[in-house]
Amino acid sequence: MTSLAVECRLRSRGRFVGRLGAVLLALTPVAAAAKNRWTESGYLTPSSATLANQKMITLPSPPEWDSSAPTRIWTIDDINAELARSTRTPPPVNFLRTSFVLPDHDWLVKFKKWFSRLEKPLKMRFDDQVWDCDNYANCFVAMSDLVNLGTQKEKGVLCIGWATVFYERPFAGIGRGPHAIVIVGTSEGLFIIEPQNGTMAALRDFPNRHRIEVIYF
Amino acid sequence: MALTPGGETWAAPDKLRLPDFPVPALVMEDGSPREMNPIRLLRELQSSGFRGYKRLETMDYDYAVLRSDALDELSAWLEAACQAVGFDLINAPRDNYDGTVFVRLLSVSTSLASLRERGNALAIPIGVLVCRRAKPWGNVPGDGIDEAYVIFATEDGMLVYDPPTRQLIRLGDFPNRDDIVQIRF
Repeated sequence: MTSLAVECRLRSRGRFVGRLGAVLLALTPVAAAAKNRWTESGYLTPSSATLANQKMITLPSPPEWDSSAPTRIWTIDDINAELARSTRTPPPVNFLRTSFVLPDHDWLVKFKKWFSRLEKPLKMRFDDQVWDCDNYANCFVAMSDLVNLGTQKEKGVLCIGWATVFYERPFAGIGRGPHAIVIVGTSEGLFIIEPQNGTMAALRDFPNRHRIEVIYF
Repeated sequence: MALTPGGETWAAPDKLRLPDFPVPALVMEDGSPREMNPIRLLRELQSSGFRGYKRLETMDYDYAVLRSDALDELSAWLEAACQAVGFDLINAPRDNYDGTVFVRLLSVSTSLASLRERGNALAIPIGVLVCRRAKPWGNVPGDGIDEAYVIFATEDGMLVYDPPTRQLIRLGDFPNRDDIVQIRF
């Protein structure tokens, strides 16, 4: 079992939070519950009423994708080669897809700004467990997935993932310790993004690039 | 590195209108959400037949426990969110499917909703289970391809969910339990 325990926040927003490990609590088994609807059918069956009665929220318009630009594809081998060029210790990459569309760099910068505009309508705020750095990083990736889903069949999967890193040097307001960031391949190469404040840097310039522990696409 | 020509119309939606993020129903004890730490998570997985503790990754220290009788609300949200961006989840082609996308969406949406509620300080136990499809599972073929599913930690044990088919099964009964590559909460 690996407890990566990535929950550091921007120093400007409060103290760094770190804990050394999980506390072993009493190991009482979780009680088996009464029979549920799903156990009888083997399916989750959302009712049409539930589907129809969803309250909606409106978010700012995501950036338009420039369809006139040529699309560049990276395979997982290309990503590994880029990592090997930029770091002394290329991290393992977890993936299910084997090729990724590299977004135009300008589009990615616009997307990053758009993501920062979601903070207010989605009421994002740092919380030690419920919403910490891995949640911010996952949210960045999830929103890029969501924006891309409708056209994914034609366009492909975007090269946007996230990574766990041990920060030896402070960067973008984050102090020493374990952390989670976004990692993206764009038309200009591999970059990291601090999703809590939008700081973006080429991987080769990221001071903690040799301590990336694992990447998830 | 390969180059492919662009030129199609791939415009993003004008406004992103989504179903409001779903507040997860949690198991309560004495007025507070029941807690589950990573050791307890591991123990629950092991009691369902999961082997290989090195294949479990946890990102947080304390997790809540989901109510299994409210999971259909989460699946409803996921399907409605996909519909909102023009993606038909239920008829998603299997050949270009990545379950991690839908795990992330569920995890992020429920965590944000929980954050807004301010009554819960625990991480939401919605994880990703990656396994080899060695054996068929209902409508999912046993073709040897790696696949990602949603895994929920509930009071009814660990439950594995496949969004496109809506299939839900206890981890202990999951046919590809012995071919799990990784579980990540």
